[in-house]
Amino acid sequence: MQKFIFLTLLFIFQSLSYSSTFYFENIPIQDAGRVKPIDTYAEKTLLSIYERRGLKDPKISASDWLIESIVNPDAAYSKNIFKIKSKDIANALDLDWRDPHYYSYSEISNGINSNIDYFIKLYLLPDDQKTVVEKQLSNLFSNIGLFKSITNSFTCLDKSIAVYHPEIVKQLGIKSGDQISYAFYLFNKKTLDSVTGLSKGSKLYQKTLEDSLLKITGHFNNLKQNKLMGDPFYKNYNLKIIPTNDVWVSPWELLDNDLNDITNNQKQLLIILEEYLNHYRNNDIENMKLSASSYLKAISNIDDINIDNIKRETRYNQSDSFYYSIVMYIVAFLVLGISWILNSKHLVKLAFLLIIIGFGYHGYGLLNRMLIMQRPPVTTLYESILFVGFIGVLFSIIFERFRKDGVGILLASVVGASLHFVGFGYENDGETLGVLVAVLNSNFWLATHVTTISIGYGATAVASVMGHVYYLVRLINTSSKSYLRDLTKNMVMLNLIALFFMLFGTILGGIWADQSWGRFWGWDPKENAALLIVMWQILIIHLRISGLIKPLEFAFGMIISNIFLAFGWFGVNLLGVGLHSYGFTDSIATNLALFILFELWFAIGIYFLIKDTDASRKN
Amino acid sequence: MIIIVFLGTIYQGDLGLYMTQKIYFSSWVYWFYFIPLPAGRLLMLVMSINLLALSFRKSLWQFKKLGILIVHFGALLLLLGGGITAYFSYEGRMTIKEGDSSNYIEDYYIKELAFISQSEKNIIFAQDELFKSNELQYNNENINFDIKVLSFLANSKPINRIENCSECRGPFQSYQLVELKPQKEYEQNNAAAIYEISGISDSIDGVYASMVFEQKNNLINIDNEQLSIKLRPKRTQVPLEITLIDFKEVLHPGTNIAKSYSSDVTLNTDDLKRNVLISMNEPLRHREYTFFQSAFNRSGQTESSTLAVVKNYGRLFPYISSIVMCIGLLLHLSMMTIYRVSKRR
Repeated sequence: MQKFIFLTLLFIFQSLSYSSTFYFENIPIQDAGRVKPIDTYAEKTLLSIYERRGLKDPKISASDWLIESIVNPDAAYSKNIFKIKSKDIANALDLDWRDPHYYSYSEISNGINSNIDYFIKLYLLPDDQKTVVEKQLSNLFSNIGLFKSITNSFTCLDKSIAVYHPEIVKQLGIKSGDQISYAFYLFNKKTLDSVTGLSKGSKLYQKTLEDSLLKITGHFNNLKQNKLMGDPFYKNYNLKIIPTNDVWVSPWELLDNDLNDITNNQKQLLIILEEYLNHYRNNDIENMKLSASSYLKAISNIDDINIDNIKRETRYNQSDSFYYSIVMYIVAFLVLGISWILNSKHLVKLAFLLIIIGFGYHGYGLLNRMLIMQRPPVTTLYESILFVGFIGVLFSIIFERFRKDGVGILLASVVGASLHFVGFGYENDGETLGVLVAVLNSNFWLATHVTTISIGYGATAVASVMGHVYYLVRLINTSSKSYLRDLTKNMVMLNLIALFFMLFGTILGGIWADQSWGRFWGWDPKENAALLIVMWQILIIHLRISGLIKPLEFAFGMIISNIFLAFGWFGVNLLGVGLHSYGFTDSIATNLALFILFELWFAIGIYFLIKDTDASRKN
Repeated sequence: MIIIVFLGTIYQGDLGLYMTQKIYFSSWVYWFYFIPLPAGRLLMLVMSINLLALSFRKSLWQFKKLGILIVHFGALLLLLGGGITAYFSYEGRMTIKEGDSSNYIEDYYIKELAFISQSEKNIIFAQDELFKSNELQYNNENINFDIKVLSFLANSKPINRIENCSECRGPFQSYQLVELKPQKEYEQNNAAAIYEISGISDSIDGVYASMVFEQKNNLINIDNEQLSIKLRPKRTQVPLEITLIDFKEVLHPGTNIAKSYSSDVTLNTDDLKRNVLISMNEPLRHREYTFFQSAFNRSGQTESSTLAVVKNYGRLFPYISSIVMCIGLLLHLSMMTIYRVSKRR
């Protein structure tokens, strides 16, 4: 127990302490309704085009990929980063279907440009009128535009033209041959406009001055027009990193708006960013650090931004805590298996320690998510999976403390690992830290109803896995009768705990509904499904108490409760009606059906197998 | 009960909430093809009787089982509250434009046919009147005529008239109605009534149609009095008036996702006036009525806000029963623990 407390404290402490460096990945950006580090944005974008959170070859993080694409777009255009999901897509773009299925921007945009009218029409079609292939094509089209817009988004900060004319050089206060950017040009436009009036040279001198000015203006006008090429939708208004009082803007957007509206602070941010990118190009790490810290200083007094939270989110993105926790759970499972073969008590202890470490990582990830979003742990289907897994492991750990024979470790590793697997499927849908719609935007009810019902789900899952364990123990039948009686008692107890949380979670949900819609119960699918779980649990408990069913049948009932759980948790969302229908995906329908079939087979098939073996043992 | 809830949930995908509720939960018997199954209401009644009957079993009246008894009493209270809500509660909505006031609530499902006269003495026929007795009488200030309801469609679509109709009057001359399957969202249904008016004059007597979503109302002129006829959600007067001052929608910056909705209103009862802010999760409660922020509509410059209105005498039951059940379970668990510990000693 001391170890557990120590580890938890360690993780909490770690999550509250900050590193002092501030790099590109921590630049705040406003996207999908909230301010976040650019790292999250980069991961989200890479996930949608490359289907991974980091680049594989060479192995770099999403943020590095993003800045690399911005600083060096031409190289980025020939990198194979667009995943094409099927042969049909490749054919539609006149590309060979090759393995691995990654293609470059140039390849795909060639294919698109040769048939651009089709793609624009497809893009404008409502989603429900598209086939699967059409949806993917339209997504690819939009991703190509997005990528183009990202690579162009900082071109206004590129030092793209050298200035030699001594008069201009003098007025701008730069050195001859220095390159200037569009932003610099705009900020100094007044000076440049007055250069001809101030100059007192010969006629020829004046002529060269006018030519130089024309050249510079022409160059930047071209730049401004070119930014729209190949990017019909985004207008480079991407990467909204410049804070305003209302909706944040991208660098180009800021410069395209009225120049008089630009505040000094916004100007300063662009100038620092320009320096930073320049240092990045020159690989000047010392100066990069300096620019980064002055950027941090410049944004530190803006209300919307909580720098500590931004850094925390970047660290959370890069910590992969859920990856570590699943590894721990799986290793614990293996160690436990070996310990049973070798009959070693030490290995059981090791497995328990691994579970606790995994649990620590699991909790660390959840805690970070709560701190970043400033809200209770469960707000989306994905988060419910994480949290239910966490609660399941917690119950199993408590259970193990009582029994000390490894059954709790088994429960923890099965529940923890399998739910993590389900969760990873959802993670690939995009960013998992989203803003909430109005009705859910209530921390009080999220904390009470949603958390209670999730605890109920977790307890139900553990209870159900316990039913499986009871089945297997009966099947092997190496244990004494008192051991089985013990297990039965535990099963009933777990079921009671699960019932307790399910019941109060459901009633709290009704009370929330009464508070915000005026009715306690509306036969909404999710409500009904929770009611189904509650009624099933009440049913088997009553049947057991009245002695109508024996422990084996009780275990049967608990396995079936897993089906009710899956139905209530994921199944009803597939109906697409009601107040709770969120997190809909096509593939989960098949997975759900497979899961239910498996559980049915397990519950019924093994039941008769046990009956059979019992009968033959008696003979 | 499990079967009924399961079926009722699955079929919501096809039928929508209102229909499934009517078929599975608010009815006494459900016909599964030709097999009669007890439906929600009957099952809950049986469960209540069962719980009540439990109290007559002597073996349960022991101190040891006090916790369990309390839990079951809580469950009984919950069912009782459900019964009261099912029979005595009333739900509807109130839609107000910014600057306007309203003192009535509209029903979600039930419609009424209203004859609105300029003298503001309206005659209204409720939906079940349209169904039950299709011969209706209009008697108002020396104007009398008969209305015969020919048909009532739960959902319909107007199409350009193909069949000739010499007896049709008003806008119905230019369109005819096609009956449609009711939609999942019951409120999107375009209910329509087709009726015949007789006893006025040849030019007015004839067949008329009114739809819920119609552009042009039927207008008839009798003796310098103009009557407009509307099929509309059933209205119920409430003893108070609400004025919408301002409706606000706050978005998450840079997105179309709403962060919050709220309506700034004035509550007006007799002589008393006060300002109230109704927002998501924070309704206005006044006597037995509760007003919730439910929806909004924005057309051009004007915004209107829709409040869901509920009148429910049973709304305290779930609160009480959950507290009772919680106490019961905790009592039972702590008593069991004490019992076990003392047994061990």
